[in-house]
Amino acid sequence: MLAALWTGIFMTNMSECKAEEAGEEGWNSEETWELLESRNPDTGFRVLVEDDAELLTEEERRELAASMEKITAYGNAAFKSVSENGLSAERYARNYYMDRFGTESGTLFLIDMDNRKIWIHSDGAVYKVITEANANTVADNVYRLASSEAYHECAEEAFREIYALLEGEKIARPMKYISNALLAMILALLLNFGLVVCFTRLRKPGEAAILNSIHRKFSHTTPNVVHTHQTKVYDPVSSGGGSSGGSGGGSGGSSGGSSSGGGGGHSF
Amino acid sequence: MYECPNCGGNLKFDIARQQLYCEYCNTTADPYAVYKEKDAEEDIIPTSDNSAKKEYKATVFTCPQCGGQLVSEDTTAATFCSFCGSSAILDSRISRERRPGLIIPFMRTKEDCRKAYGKMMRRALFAPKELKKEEILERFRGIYMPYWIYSFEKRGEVTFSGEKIHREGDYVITDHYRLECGIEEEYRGLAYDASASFSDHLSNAIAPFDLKQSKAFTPSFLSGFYADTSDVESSVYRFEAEDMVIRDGCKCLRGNPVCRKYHVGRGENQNTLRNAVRPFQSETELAMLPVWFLAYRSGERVGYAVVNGQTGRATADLPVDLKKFLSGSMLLAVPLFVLLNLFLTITPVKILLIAALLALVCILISNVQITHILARESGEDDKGFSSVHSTAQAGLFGGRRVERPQRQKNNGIFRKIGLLLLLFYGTALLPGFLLQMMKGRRGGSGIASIMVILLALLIVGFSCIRQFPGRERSDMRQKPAYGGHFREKCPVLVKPFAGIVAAAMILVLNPVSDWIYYLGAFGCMCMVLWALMDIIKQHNMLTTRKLPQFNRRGGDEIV
Repeated sequence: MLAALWTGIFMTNMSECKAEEAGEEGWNSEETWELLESRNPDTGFRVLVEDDAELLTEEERRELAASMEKITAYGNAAFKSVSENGLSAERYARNYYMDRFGTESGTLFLIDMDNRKIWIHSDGAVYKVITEANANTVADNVYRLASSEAYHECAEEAFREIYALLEGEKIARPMKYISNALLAMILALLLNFGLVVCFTRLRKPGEAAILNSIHRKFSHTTPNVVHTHQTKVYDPVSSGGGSSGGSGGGSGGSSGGSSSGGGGGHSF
Repeated sequence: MYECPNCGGNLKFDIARQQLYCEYCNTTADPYAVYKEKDAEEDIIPTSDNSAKKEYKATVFTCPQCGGQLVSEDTTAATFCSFCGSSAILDSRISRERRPGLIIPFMRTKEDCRKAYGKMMRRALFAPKELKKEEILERFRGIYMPYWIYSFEKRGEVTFSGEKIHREGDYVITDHYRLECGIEEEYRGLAYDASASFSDHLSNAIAPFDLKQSKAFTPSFLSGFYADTSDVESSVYRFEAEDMVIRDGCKCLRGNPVCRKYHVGRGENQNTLRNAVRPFQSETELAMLPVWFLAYRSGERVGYAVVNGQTGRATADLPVDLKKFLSGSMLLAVPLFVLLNLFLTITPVKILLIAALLALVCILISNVQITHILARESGEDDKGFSSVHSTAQAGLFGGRRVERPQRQKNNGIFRKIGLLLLLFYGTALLPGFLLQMMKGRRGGSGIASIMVILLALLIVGFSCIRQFPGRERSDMRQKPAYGGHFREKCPVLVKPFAGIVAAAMILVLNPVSDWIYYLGAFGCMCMVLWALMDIIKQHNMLTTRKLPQFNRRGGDEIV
């Protein structure tokens, strides 16, 4: 329902966008060599293409930005490429997203040339759809394009699949079904084996059942208690009282706000 | 044969009437009255332990194939063997058998036995259909199994220790007490099967018998039934029976409020309590207890179904029909597949790790099963059998097992190191990788990973102590953590292990291409499937037995 509503709003926006394509009236855009930014006037969400690693031509960047505009119906959409990165791809993506969009809804596609990794990071409402599992699936589907240096096609395909997921459509997961079929088969065999063992085990009756079936008599008089001796053992009570507290612990995570987002990626 | 006083026909014990019955003229006779007429056939002979041993004459049928023996009062030829299931005319001869003191006559008819068996088989979904056929039920045979009946007694004053502990400043003060009381304990009727041919597992599974319903033995009770011969010494189970009595006595005494107050039976006081309730006197008597017995062939092996002839409790060796098992599993796989698709998103690393973990599960199951099979086949897990037959002769792998101690001495160290490496891999690396995957590759602190590795090191360290004992422990009998029998287990366990090794190599190399992960995972899963088929075969070995070879003349039987 929500997806359909969003789709409706988005389609309206898109038709307006196409009508005003020449002058881009209504879309606030800003452009430098590496940075291309525009904003959806209806939703307020932005498209950001930042190609620091210079993997795309100018035309490719424009095309990519155009295809990313669809996603602004749901949240911000960003493409980032980086050639030098001292952090992990995941940490970089998280920090970059926080810097640019804070905790707003949206998704980021990062190509980290330093770590040779692609990463999809999402936050807000978009993260509810582009979960870590889905981000991993999308990354798995497109990493081969990055390996063959088709970065534009890689990003285009990634955003196409992200959009498809946001629209409630399915994306290709061929290995999922094969793997799950094999896994289900093995688990079924194991479960059935467990059942077989449970039902066919030769069970020995308990000691109580055996003793109840025999002639059994045990009686005793009340014990007479005699104190014999006393022993003393030196055992000082621990003065420290155990290790109390101490583990303050930082909250970890990224600085400057509480991002609830996450994502997934793949080496290439 | 007991002749009918009216028509001279064959008198047989009738379960419903609990009398001897002539089916030709409907005459009933008291078993003890018939016994009196045959009294002359019984002898009393002295034994080595100065106790008198009575005997009675009977026909002994011996199976020409397995050597199993059955005693009968009937001289009609027996046409199948209840031990190996073969359909052969059994050789018969007149013999003198040790006369039991007690007998519980059959109280469940063959019809009751069939019903009990049918009820049990309804739960056995994957059992071969041959075991559910009517024809097989006809082969149920009423056999009186010999049991040793142990009785224990103690009367008198006993002393045991108790204590009370309290703290005063930096001192723990223990007050020691002597508790004295009079006890009177009497346990009569602890039954343990006295036949090596009757598996302890089966006899335990149909226990208990209610010895309160036992009667004085007379051979006429056997008419119409068979009886197994006793060949297990009475001393074999005495300690086990006595231990049960001691445990029960301790439990009763510990329940006393005074004993509870003085923590009787805890820690070091346990031995004094055990000694206090240890019975002074014990008696052992041979009894014949009723069992409906069925043997069926499963290829070159044999399986047994037994029903308690007194209580109707049924049990059986139930192998798995592979076709039924596979089709049942395929049916179960469908909902599992749907569930997995709903809740599990597969990534290449995840599927590889899952495959490796499943392979590890298969190794553990296989290891346990093979250990049990080897114990079963050699008779190690059957006290009665192992007391009669030497384990070296009865071992599954024959003479090879005798050589083993020398091999262990030569290259045991490499095997132990290999085992420890495998243990480390299983307890640290696999969970470590899994943990990494669960974290979603977020980096951050690896505290959990470090804890897993520390835990693994602790386990490996503990295993080291077991595998490489110090001087003071070196003369203790060692049992390896994996259950031993490395040579026998290796061919089976190597399959899932190969899958784990392949998965580990892929995870270490960490290739970019997903295909390598998927190929590794599918390869590992194929190994798991292969190992699972082995597990089913092992289960079928465990639920059947090798064809018995008794070839015996011994125990209490006198030729």
